[in-house]
Amino acid sequence: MSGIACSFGHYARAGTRAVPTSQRSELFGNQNVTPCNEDLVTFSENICEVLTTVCDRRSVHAYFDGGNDLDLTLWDRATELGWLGIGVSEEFGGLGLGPRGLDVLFRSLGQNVSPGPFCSTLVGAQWLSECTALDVAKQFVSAVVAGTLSLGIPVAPGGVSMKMQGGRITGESETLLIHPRTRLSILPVNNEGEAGFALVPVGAGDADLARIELWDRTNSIGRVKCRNVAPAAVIPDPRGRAVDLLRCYLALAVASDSVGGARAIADQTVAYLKLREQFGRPLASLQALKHRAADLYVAIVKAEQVLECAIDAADGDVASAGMWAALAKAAASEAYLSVADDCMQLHGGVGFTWEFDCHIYLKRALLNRQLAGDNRALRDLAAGQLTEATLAGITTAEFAA
Amino acid sequence: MLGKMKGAAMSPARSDVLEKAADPALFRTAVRSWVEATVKADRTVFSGRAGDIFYDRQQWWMAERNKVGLGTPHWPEAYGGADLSLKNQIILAEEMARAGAPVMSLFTVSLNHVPATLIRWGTEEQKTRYLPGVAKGVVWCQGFSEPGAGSDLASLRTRAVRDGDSYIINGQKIWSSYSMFAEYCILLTRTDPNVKKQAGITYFIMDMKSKGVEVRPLRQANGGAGFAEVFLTDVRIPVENRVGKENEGWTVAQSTLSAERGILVFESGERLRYVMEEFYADALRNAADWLRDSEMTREFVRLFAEMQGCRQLLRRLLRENEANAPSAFETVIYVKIISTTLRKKIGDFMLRTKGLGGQFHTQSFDEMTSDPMNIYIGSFAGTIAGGSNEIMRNVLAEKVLKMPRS
Repeated sequence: MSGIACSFGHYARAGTRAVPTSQRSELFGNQNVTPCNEDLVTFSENICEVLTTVCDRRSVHAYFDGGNDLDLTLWDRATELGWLGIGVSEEFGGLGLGPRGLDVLFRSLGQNVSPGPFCSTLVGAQWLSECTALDVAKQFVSAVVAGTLSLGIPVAPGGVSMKMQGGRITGESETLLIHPRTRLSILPVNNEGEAGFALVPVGAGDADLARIELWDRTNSIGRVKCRNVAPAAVIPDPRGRAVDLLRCYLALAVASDSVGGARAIADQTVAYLKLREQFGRPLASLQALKHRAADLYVAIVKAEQVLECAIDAADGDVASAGMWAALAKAAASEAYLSVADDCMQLHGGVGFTWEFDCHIYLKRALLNRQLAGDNRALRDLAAGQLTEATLAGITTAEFAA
Repeated sequence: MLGKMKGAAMSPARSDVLEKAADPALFRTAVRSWVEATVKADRTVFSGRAGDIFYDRQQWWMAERNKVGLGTPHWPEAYGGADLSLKNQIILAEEMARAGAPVMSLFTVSLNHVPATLIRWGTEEQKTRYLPGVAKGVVWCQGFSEPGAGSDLASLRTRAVRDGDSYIINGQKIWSSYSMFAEYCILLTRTDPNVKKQAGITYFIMDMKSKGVEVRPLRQANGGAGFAEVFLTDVRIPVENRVGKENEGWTVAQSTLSAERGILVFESGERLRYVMEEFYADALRNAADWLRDSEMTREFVRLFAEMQGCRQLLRRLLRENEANAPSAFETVIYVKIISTTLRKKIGDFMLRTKGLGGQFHTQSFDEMTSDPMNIYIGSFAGTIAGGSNEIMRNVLAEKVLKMPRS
C-alpha cells in the first residue's frame, strides 16, 4: 500500500518545466502570465517534499481519528516556510504569486488531504488584501502571513446575511470554514440596508463559535452566534464586487484542492491495481479496468484544463474571471467526486475499509461539491454572465491577454 | 502537370500577406482581411451552385491560398512552402476558424501526413518532386488500414514483392479518405511475413494512376462518400518511390501519424469555439426555448467550459511539441479522447435544442459546418479514426500509467 500520493499534476512534468513562461508569452502573446513559472515549480516541489513527511498517510489517518494535532503542526510548518504569504503581495510580507501561487499550494494540500484552515485563511487574506483599505488589510493580512491569525469565511459567499444595526451585529450566521485557532471571521452583513462584510473576532466575548462535526474530518465548519457584537472592521459592498471576488477565490481554491485530490487517489488506485492479484494475474492487466483507469485521468485532465482557464482569467484580472472560477469549481468538484467514487470501487473490499485512504478522499470530494456554492447555482451564475457578455458582443473565450 | 514541379525554385513570390510575417499583429490583420474577402468570394462562387461542390470548392480554396503564398505555409521554402513560424501557423488556423472558412479536408493527408513523412524520411529527390505539388492542388491519400488491420495496423497483409527495379503490390486498403480524388497514395505494405509484424513493413509512394489500382467509394454514415476501398492487383511501384529502407516502414509510419498531433487538431478546437459562441449568440437573438430550461443552460455552460479547457490543452500540446517535451506523448492522447467526445456531446446538445426540427434533412450552404446532425454523426469519424478512443485508452493505461499488458 503506497503512502498518500505526492505526484505533482502537470507542474512537475517535463513538459511544463521545459517550457518557461517567457516562451509561452512568445507563442501566445500572453503578456500577463506570472513571470515565475520556474519559481512555482520549485515552490511546488518544496511543498510536496514537506507534505510527504509531515502529512503522510499515517498522520492523516491518526488525525482523522483524533489522535494528533496535524492541523496545528502543519500550520506551524507552513508559517515557518512562508506558505501563508504565497498569494498576497510583498507589502503584506507575502510572495505576491497571486492565484497561480495559491493554486500550487491548494493542489498540494488537496493531494495529501491535508487538514488545517488553509483554504479559509488564505482565501480570506487574498480577498482582504484587495477589498479593504490598506491599513485594515495590512493589520490582518500581515498577521495571517506571520501565522498568528486564521480566518473564517462564508461557505458559500452570496448567501444569507446577518443583521447589523447601530454598528452592532446580532444573530446567527451561516456556517463558516473555521479552525480551533480561528480568531476572526469574515461575515456577510446587511448594514442597515447596505450589503457588505464585517470582520468579527469570534470564540470570545459575545461572538460564540460552535464547531459542527463533519463527515470530512480534514475540514471544519462552525456556526457563529453574535449578540450585539461590534465588528473589528466593516467592508461595504454596495455593488457586489467584494462578494463576487470572495466567491471567485474560494471557488478557485476548492477547484485546486479537488484536482489535487483526484490525481492523488487515482495514482494510488492504479498502484493498487498493479499489486492486487486475482485469477493469477494483476488486476491492472484487465482491459476493463485499464479503460476505467484511463477514464479517471481523462476526467482529471478535463477539470485541470478548465481550472487552467480560470487561473489565467483570475491572474489576468479579466472581467470573466468569476464566471471561469465558477465553471472550474463545478467541473473540478464533480470530477473529484466521480474519480474518488470509482477509486473506492476499483479498490474492492479494502476500499470500503476505514484503514484505506479512499473514504478520506471521497468525503473531502463530497464536501468540496458543496463549498463555494452548489454547482447548479454556480453554473446558473456562469450562464448569466455568459449571456451578458454575449449580448454585449464580448467573447469570454479569449485567453488572458 | 507534375513534371513541371521539379526543382526547388517553386516558392511563390512573397505576397502582401506573407510580407507581414515578421510582425504577428500585422500578420493577423493581413490574414484576417484576406480570409474575410475570400470567404465572401467563396459564397459568390458556390452558394448557388447545384450538385456536389465539395471537390471544386476545396480546390478553389487551395488555389486562393496559393495566390497569397499560404498553400503550404508550414513547410520550408525550398519545397514550395512559406516557412511560417509556429506562432504564425496558429494565427492562420485561428483566423480560418474565426471566419468560418471550410476545413481543408480534401488536403488533410497532402498538408499534414505527407510533409511529416517526407521531410523526415524522404530522399531529396522525393521532397523536391512531391512537396511543391501540394500547393498546386495535388491530392494525396493514405493507404494504411485494411479490412483485417484497423486498430491492429501492424498486422497489415498487402504484399510487396521486389522484382528488379520495382515492387509488385497485391492487397486491399480501406477507409482511405478521398482516395477517389487522389493522385498519390502513401502506402504501407508487408515485405517480410516471417518476422515480428512491425519489422516486415515497407513504406511507399504510389501513383494512383498506376495499372491495377481500383478505387471503390464507400458511403459514410452521414451520407457523404469521403472514403473508399482501394484494391491493388499487381501494381508496380518503382524502387525510388520507397520511403525509408525496406522493412523499416513501421518507423516511417510513426512520423506520418505524428501529423495528427499538431496544428491539424488545434484548428478543429478553434472551430468548436466559434460553433459554440455563434450557437449561443443565435439562441439569444432568437430567444430560443431552451434558454428557459435551466437544466439545458447548465449543460451548455458545462460544455462551453469543456471546450475552452480543450483549447487550453491544445495550446499545451503545441508548446510541448515545440519544446520536444516527452509529455507531448501523454497530452496527445488526452487531446484525442477529450476533443472527439466533446464534439459528439456538442452536436448532440445542439440537436436536442432543435427538437423535431433537428431531424429535418436540410443542407443549405450556410449550415454545412454548423448543422447539428452533421456535427453529431460526423463526430464518429473523430472517435473512431486515428486510433479509436478505445485504443487510446489502452495506450494511456499501458504506456503512461504503466499497467501491464494482458
